[in-house]
Amino acid sequence: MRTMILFATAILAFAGTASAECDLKTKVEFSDPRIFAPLKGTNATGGFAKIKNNCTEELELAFKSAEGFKAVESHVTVEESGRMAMKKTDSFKIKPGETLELVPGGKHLMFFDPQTEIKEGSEVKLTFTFNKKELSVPFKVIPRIKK
Amino acid sequence: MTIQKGALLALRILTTIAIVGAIYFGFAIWKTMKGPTFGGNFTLTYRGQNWIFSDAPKKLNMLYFGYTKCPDVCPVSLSNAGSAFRMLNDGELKDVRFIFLSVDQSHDKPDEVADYATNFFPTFIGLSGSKEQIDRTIGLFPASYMLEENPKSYLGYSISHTDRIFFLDSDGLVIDSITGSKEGAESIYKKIKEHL
Repeated sequence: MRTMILFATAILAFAGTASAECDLKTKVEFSDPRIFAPLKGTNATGGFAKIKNNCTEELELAFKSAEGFKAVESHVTVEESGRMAMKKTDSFKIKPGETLELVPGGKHLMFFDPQTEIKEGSEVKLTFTFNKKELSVPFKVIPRIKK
Repeated sequence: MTIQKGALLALRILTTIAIVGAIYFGFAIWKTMKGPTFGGNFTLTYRGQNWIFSDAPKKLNMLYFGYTKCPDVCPVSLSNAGSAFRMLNDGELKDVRFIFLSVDQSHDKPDEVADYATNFFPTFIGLSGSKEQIDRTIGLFPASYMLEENPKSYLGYSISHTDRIFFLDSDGLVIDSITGSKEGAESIYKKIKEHL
């Protein structure tokens, strides 16, 4: 019995260590991270990506900063009483093996008040926190309008 | 003879009343079956100047309600509409116009709204107005908006609003509509062609 308890404790300790050591750089996979170039007449723009959690633990993702913008927030677009509304959220949760899709009309990032000229083709460095550990990822600036 | 004339006159009056009544009730039934009519003339401002729909209506007019700081549904809808306009030829473009009305009277400046609309297509018209003008205009259509305070967000507020592009005839009456952000440019283009 004592051996079994020791064995179980060892497994739990190992699982805890493995979880704590999840390497964000290799285990969190970003696909097509992009920001629409800001348009004239507005101080806000949107950002999107697919973020896959390859860690063995659930990740809570929050946004810390976006290079060149005064503020960045995570939002969800929802339909309420026939109107489209945007709701600010503090974070998104991603279960192990699942993918968070940030898409127009759904969960997305919002950037406010560019502090410098954000040119099409350039990159903006976004800093996220995953379970309070930081990760920076470059987002490509693309045109909003398809011409 | 006099009695006969009187009877004839009474018959004529009764017949006329019956015909007028039938037309009236027929029209009322037709109107009920047709459903309510939305739209009409409206007055707003373009770059701070008075702008009246009936001053220069096109054969087909498209109207969308939103605000410039909306980074999601508005730009998607306007991008789709802009792409649809790019599929039209010069002759078709002369007969159609797109109007973007900002419902964010407190924050969107008239020049910002006008500039914002032209991002999507050079002829798009970005309008603003007093709160009364905006509310009166939106009241003509099956549409609404609501400003929600959100002190935790950077903007401090957000506006929920109807996400539909309304197709209006030259009198400003609604003849069709489409969901701006969900339907693609191809669907909007088909609707434009259908009504031109």
